Amino acid sequence: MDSLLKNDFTSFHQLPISVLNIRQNTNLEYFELEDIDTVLTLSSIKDSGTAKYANPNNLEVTIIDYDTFLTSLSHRFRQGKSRCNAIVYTQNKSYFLLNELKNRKIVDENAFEDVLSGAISQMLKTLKLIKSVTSIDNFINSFTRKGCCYCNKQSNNPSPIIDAPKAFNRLNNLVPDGIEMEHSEINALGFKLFQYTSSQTIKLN
Amino acid sequence: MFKTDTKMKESIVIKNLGPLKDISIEEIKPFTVFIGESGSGKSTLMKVISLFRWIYKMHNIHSYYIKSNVNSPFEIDDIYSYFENCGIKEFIKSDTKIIYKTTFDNGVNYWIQFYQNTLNFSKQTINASDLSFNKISFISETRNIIPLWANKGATLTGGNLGFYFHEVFKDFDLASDAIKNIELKHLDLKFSVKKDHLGKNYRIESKNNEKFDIEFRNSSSGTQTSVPILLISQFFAQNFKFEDAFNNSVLKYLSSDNRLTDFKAVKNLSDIKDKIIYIHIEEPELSLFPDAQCKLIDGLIKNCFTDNTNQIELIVSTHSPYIVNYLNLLIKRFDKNIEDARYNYDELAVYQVADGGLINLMAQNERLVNTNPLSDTINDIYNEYEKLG
Repeated sequence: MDSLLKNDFTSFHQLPISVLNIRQNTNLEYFELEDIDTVLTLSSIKDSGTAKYANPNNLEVTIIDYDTFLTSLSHRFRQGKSRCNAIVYTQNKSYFLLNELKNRKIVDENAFEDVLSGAISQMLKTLKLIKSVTSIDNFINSFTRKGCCYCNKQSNNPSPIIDAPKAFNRLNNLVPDGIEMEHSEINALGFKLFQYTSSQTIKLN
Repeated sequence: MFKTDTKMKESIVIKNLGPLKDISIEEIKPFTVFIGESGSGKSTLMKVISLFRWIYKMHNIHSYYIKSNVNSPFEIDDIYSYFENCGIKEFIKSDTKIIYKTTFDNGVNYWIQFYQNTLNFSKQTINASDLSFNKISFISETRNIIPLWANKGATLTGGNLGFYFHEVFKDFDLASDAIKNIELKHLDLKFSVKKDHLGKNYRIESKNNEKFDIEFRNSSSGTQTSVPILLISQFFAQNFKFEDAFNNSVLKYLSSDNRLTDFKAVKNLSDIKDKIIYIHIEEPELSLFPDAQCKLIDGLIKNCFTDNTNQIELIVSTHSPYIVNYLNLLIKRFDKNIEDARYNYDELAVYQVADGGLINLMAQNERLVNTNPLSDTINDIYNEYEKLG
C-alpha cells in the first residue's frame, strides 16, 4: 500500500514520487497507536494510545501514516483535502481499516467541524480519494473486512471523588468491540463505520 | 396501549436550508430524537417536518372533499407566509429543496416538493384507500411563557408572541379544558385546573408533607416548562377525539357553505386507518435537574406509547446527555420486558445534526444509542484538567 501511495497515487495526480517512510509493520498481540508531535507512534504499552488493537493470532499488520504522506504533498494538491490519520491492514488480506484518532491535531481546513462529523468526513474523503486510483481500489477490494474506525480517548477521573468521566463513558463498557454506526456513503463503498472510545478495542481476529 | 397499525411511512429530504445542507431521513420513526449544537439546525429540521406534515394533512382534507363529491379548491396560496411563521423564510435560497414523502404498503407514494420557490404535489388527490387524518402539535421552548400569558391573557389580548407560542398555548388551553389535574411524578407535585369566575386557575400543589398550593406562574421554572409537555401529551394521547376535530375542520366547513347536500362521504372517519397525532417537543429538559429530566421522559413515554388510546408519533430535540443516555435504559427495559416506562429500539431513531447533515446514532451492532457525542465535553474538560498538572 505504501508503494501504491508513493508511486501510483502520486503519478495519478501528476505529483512527484514520494520517498517518505510512512510504513510500520508489527505482529504484536496487542498494540496501540498515538499521535506524538504529528508522528504516528506504535506502542505495546496499554493505555498509551488512542487506538487500541488486539491481534490475538499475531497477524502481520502494516500501518501507514497517511496523514504524514498527504501532508508531504504539494500545498496546492492537499488544499481542501481532509485526511484520516492511518491506514491499517493485515498481510493475509483479512482487514483493511482507515483510522482516525481524535487526539491528533487536525491539520486541515475543516477544524471547526463537529468532532464526530469531522472524523467521519475525514475518513470518507480519504476513502474516496484513494479509491479513485484503480490499483489502490483493486488492492482495497481484495480484503475481506473493511472498516472506518474513529478512535477517541476517555479522560481519567481527576480525583477519587469526581466520577464524571467514568460515569459518562460507561456506555462503552457495554460494547467492548466498538459501536457500529450506519453511514450510507461509507457503507455503499463496502466499508463499515465504527467508533471506539476508552477500552474499546479493534480486534484483528 | 394503542397498537400501531399504520400503513404509511414518511421520509424527508432537505437541501440547502440555512444550517441544513444535506438531510435525508428515509423513514421517520415513531419516536425520533435530534441532538446537536446550538444553531446546528435541530429546530429548523423539526419545524420543516411539522410544516410539511401539516401541508400533507391539508392535502388529505382536500382529497377527502373531492372524493366525497365536494368541489373544494386546494391552494397553499403563499408558502412563504408559512415559512415566515416557522421562522425559516430567510433560510430559503434558490437551491433550497424540501421533499416530504409518504409511502404505503401497496407501494403507492405521495410527495410534496418545494424547489425553486414552488410547491408541487406528486398527485392532485390522495386515493381514498390512502387517506389519513392527522393532528400536529408543536411544544416549543417558548412554553415557559404559558403561565404568565394564561394569567395576563385578558390584558394582553392581541399581543403576538410568535406562531409557535400561540400554537402551544392553544393546545395547552384545549388540554386544560379536558384534564383537571395531572401528577408531576418527576417533581413530586400535582398540577390542577380550577375554574372560577375569572376563568381557569392553574395551581401547583405539593404531594408530600410540606403542604403548599401556589399559582402555576409562581412555581419553579422547571415546573412551568414541563407541565405543558405532560398535559398536552396526555391530552392528545388519551383525551383527544378525532371525531370532534373532524367535525370541526371538515363538516363545519361544508355546512357553512351549504354544501353538505352534495357531500357523499367517500369514507367514514372510523374507516380511515391512519389517524395519527404528531407531537414535536423542543428541549424537554429545560430548567430541570438531571434526575427530573429522566422521570419526565418516563411520563412522556407512558403518555405517548403506553397509556395512549390515540396513535402518537413523537419528535424531540434535546441537548441533554441524561435524556439521551436514558433512552438506553428504556430500550433495556423493553428488551427485558420490564413493566415500567420502556421503548423498543426498532421504533426509535436518534440523530446528531452536525455540519449540515445527520449522523445516525443508533448502534448497528447492539440495541443501544451511541451517546458518545454528548460525552465528548466531559472528556475534553478533564483532558485539559490533566494537562494543567
